[in-house]
Amino acid sequence: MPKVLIVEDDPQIARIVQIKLTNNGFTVIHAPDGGAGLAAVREHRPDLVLLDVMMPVMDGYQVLRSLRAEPEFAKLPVIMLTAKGQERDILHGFKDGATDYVVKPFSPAEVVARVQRALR
Amino acid sequence: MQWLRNLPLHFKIASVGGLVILLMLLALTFSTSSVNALTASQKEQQVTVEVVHHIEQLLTDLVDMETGVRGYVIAGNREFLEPFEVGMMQHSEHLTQLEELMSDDSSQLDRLARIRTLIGRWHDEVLLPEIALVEGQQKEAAVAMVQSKAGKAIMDQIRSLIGEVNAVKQRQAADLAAQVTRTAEQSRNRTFGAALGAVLLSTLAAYALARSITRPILGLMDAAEQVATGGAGYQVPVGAQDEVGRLATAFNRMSDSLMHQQVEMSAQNEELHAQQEMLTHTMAQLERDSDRLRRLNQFSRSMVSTDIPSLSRRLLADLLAASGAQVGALALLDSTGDLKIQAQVGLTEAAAAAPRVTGLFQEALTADEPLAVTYPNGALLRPVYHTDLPVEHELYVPIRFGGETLAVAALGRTGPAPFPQEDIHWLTIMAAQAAATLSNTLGYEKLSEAFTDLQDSAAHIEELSAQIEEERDRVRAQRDNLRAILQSTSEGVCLVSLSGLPILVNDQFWHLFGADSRQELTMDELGELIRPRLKHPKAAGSFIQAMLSQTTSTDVLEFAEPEYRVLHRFTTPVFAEDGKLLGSLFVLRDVTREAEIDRMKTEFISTVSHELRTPLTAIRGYVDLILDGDVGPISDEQREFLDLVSRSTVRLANLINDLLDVEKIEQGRIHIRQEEVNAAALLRDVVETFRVSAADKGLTCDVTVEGALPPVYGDPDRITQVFSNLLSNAVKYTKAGGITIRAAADADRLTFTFADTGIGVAPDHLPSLFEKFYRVDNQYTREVGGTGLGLAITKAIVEHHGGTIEVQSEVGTGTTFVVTLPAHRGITSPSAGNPAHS
Repeated sequence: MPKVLIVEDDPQIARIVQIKLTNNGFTVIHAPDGGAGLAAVREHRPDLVLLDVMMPVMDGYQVLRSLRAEPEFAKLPVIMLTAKGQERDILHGFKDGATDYVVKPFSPAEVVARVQRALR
Repeated sequence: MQWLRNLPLHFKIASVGGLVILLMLLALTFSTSSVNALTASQKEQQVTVEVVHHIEQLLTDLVDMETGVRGYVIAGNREFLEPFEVGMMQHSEHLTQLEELMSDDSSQLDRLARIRTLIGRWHDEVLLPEIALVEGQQKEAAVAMVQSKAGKAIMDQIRSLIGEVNAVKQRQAADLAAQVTRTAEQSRNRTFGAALGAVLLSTLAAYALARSITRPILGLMDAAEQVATGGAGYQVPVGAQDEVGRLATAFNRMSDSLMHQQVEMSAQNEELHAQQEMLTHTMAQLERDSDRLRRLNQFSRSMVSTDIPSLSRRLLADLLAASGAQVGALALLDSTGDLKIQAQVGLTEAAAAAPRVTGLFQEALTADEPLAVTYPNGALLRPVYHTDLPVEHELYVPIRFGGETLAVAALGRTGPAPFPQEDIHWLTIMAAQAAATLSNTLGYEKLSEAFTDLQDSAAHIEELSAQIEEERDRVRAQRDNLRAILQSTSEGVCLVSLSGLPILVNDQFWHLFGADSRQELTMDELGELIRPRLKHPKAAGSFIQAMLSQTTSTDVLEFAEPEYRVLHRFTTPVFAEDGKLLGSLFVLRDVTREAEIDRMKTEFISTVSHELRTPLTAIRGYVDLILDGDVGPISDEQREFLDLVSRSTVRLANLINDLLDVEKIEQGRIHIRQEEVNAAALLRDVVETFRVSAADKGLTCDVTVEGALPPVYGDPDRITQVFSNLLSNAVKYTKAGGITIRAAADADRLTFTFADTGIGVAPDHLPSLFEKFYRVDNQYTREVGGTGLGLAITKAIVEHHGGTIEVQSEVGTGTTFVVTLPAHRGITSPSAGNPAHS
């Protein structure tokens, strides 16, 4: 059963993603901020990370860079969740090693589709 | 005889002298021979005398002998024998003497020999026997013997012979004497003759010599006198080759040479004469020419102030007078290039009034020399001259000035003599002179016109001057006002000349840099002044660059010292009214506070949009979860309502996207792809996507693309967005009628017109139409809905492509949007394009 970590400061969004992914057969872990997210990755070793960009303390890019800095997480699929839908931001994310992108406000079904695709 | 005459003169004189001497010698010889003859005769006479003497002696001897013997015989005394013996001895001697004297005469010698023989015989046969008989005492025998006369016969013979010798001698002597006399006479005669001959001959020779000398000399003298009196070429006959002959030859040569010289001189003389004549002729000609020139000069001078018609008349009259022509016409080339009669004498009315003249006039126009035409027998066919004069010769004189033919004068005269060449030549000169006058007059007329214009202008100028004065006062006042405004404005203004010096600066300009307003700084000094104060010192370079360039540009300068300050710079070239570049105008505005507000606004919008998206995401997420059946089944009505919620959420999200777009575009952060875009094709595609929605509302949708449009350099997605926004609006705000879309291009721009027959926009709303969130609030717009950002984004995109967007509208009639985009001509000129790309 694939394990997905969602790092998202907004509990509602986290909950929606959690419900949808669980319903689609994923095990979902939630981390409320960047720091917790990093810790959760190390602790739970998820198969995929859904990473929000705009977060307090440590934003999504910082978390992504930290993960990519560790060899064991270099290839870990990371899908960014961002309110910024512009190409420049997407390019920024890809440069830092993002696997894919989902633009807010997203449809939960779209997230499931992208996660499944990233894990294939 | 010629050789004689050719002898040199001294030789001749010597010859004559010699001849005389010769004759004298001859005379001398003759006289000498005469003397010799006389001498010989005298000798002969002496010989004769001696002969006679010896003969007498001989006879004496003989007588002595005979007598002696006879005595002896008779006397018988021996004493008588002595004469005999002496005679016997002496007669031989006398005979020898005679023989010697006449040794040259054989007959005499013969006679003498016979005498000697006879004497011998006589001696032996007579005398000796007789002596012997005496001696023998036979005296009678001896006397008988003497008486027998034997001795006497012999003695007679001897005596005869001696007589003969004597006679011969005597005859010879007489002959000799006669001969001597003759000879002497002859001699005398000869001598005399010779002397006479010598005198005569010498006289003759002298005369001949004198004559032979004097005659040629006299001839020479005569000739010399002849030559002296001008008889050149006089030839002396050269008789001989002597000195005189040579002199004569020399004289002849001299005479010849003189004659040649004289001939030459006379030829020269003739030539001089001819020259003098020519000179006289030329003088007369010159005088005539001078007269003509003077008249022409007067003519020219009198022409200056006159007008063309009277000048033409006078010119023609003068040409007629100068050429002796009776009729003529002067045609002037007018501005249209036609020759028109200006003056004429003896022309028919029709010919004079012709709008233009052609034919020979036209030919003369391009001819280098006057054109002479002859009409034999007065056969001038054209009815040009109404005079009764039978014109036989015509002369067409082109009047040319500065290589340009101004006019042609035609001159006609009666025959039979044609125009003299001299006259033609003179006419050419006159034509040239007249051409200058004509040209001057033409110029003068133009000048007069110009002068009149000028006078009009002057009056006008005076008026203008007053106006200008007024205007200047006004401008002065305006300038003072401007200065006051300039000083009172909060913006720093500086006009920089082309050479980079500030011409017009307000105090505020310097104050913005914290500099003293009294400072007169060059651009370099200004650069040095601001460099340390800038937040990014490197920006100073581009700032100064901008001040010195003549293009419109703007940017923002951030100062760190003496306090944080943001200046907005605007630079634009300034042109005078005549289009001449004066320099660049700088306007610096302190936008520190505006920048801060802007920054805060951007941050705010960014935050708000983020904060909006988060709940929106939650709403959409939950709704979708319910709709997807993730949380259990729902009723159809629930599904319908949730669906509405979901769509509204999406719209709200789009609104937020637009908001971010506007914000990003305004901050220059929009990313515009750069490529060649076929805008016409894009337009057609976009129109097609709207055709269904337009048709749904019963609207027509016509698109016209005029010709082949050049490409646009830019982002096809953004351009699509522009077309889409405008069409969307047009469809949205049009109830009936239709939408007309037109695309066209000129050299450097593409123009897209979107005209609808919609509700229109009230004039007071028009200026704000492109502002963000500006919405014309009325019932209809509320029904239609919208973010109020579409046009703002459209304008931003168009302007980022270097284009423009304008709107015209009338309420109830419709709205027209005109979008222009720069054409891409294959030259990469991103300057107008895209700051985000740089």
